[in-house]
Amino acid sequence: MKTISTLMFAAFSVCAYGQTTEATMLKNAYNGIKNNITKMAEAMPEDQYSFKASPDIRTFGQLMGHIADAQGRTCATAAGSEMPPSASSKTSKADLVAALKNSFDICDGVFNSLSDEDAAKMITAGRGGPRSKMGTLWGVVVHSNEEYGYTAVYLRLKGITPPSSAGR
Amino acid sequence: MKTAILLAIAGALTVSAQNPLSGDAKFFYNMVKAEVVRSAEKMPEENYSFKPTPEVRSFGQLVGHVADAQYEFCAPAKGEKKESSVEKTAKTKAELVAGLKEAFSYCDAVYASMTDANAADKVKFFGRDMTKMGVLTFNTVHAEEHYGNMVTYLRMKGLVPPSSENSR
Repeated sequence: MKTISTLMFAAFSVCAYGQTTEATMLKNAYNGIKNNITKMAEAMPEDQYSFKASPDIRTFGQLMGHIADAQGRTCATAAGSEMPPSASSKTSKADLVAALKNSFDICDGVFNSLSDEDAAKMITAGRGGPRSKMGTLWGVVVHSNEEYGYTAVYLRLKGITPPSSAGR
Repeated sequence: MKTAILLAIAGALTVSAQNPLSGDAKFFYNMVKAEVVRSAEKMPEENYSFKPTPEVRSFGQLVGHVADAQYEFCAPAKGEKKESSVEKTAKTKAELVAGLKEAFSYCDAVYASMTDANAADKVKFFGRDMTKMGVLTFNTVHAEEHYGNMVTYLRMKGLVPPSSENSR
């Protein structure tokens, strides 16, 4: 599974060319989990999207849909844009990969436009809050990392190395 | 799965008007701390050696890894050097839980010392300049990912993870 050095390699990739600010560190963490989840969704074969590690939990596909919905809703609210359609009824790999991409497209605009100046602006998006805009976006990163942690084990159970551990 | 504990804590959340950014960072840290400690306590000792596949960490090793990571992130944020080897040295559940709690206690003080005014202070991390809040939030994100791993391990052993305990 992911090690701290892997995480930091990602963190430094932004710091290397830009000024180290709160906003750049957040954007980097977001790009890290975006990369991992996108690759994960692609790596899992379609016939395993219905796989679940135990009977009482979400399938891999349902988890991908949950991530897409959580990201899309929170980022759309933060952006003041229209809510994306729910991915909860989607089951095919193509539909879920598309839903994830759509949620990342929405979030890209929000994360990329965040400046240190508006980081402390209080908003209500996602669950709970109100919270600072930066805190809300960190919440997206935290939640997506948790879900990625679930599904990294699903991948291992199917003999696939998770993206965060690939190449090591 | 998750979200129930997030909602429960979010409902009780009050963010300091003077420290919205660091207040949010502390909120997410306290959330994952509670989730990881409760997971470590909940998993029976006989399952500390459980690993879903041969090439990944056992549950006990995950607990030790998260403990060690607290020092790897929080010591630089505090401006200290601190070695930790809970993953390699602690063998029993009691030792691992104790090591985990001690590690979080160390980080508690570091997070507590953070305000919005000093959040952007530069700290050295792996030889690079990062912000204090950035390092601490990467710690939270890293712990949350491994909590996600633990969730699937717990589910595979028929246990409800802490973040879902109040949802059923």
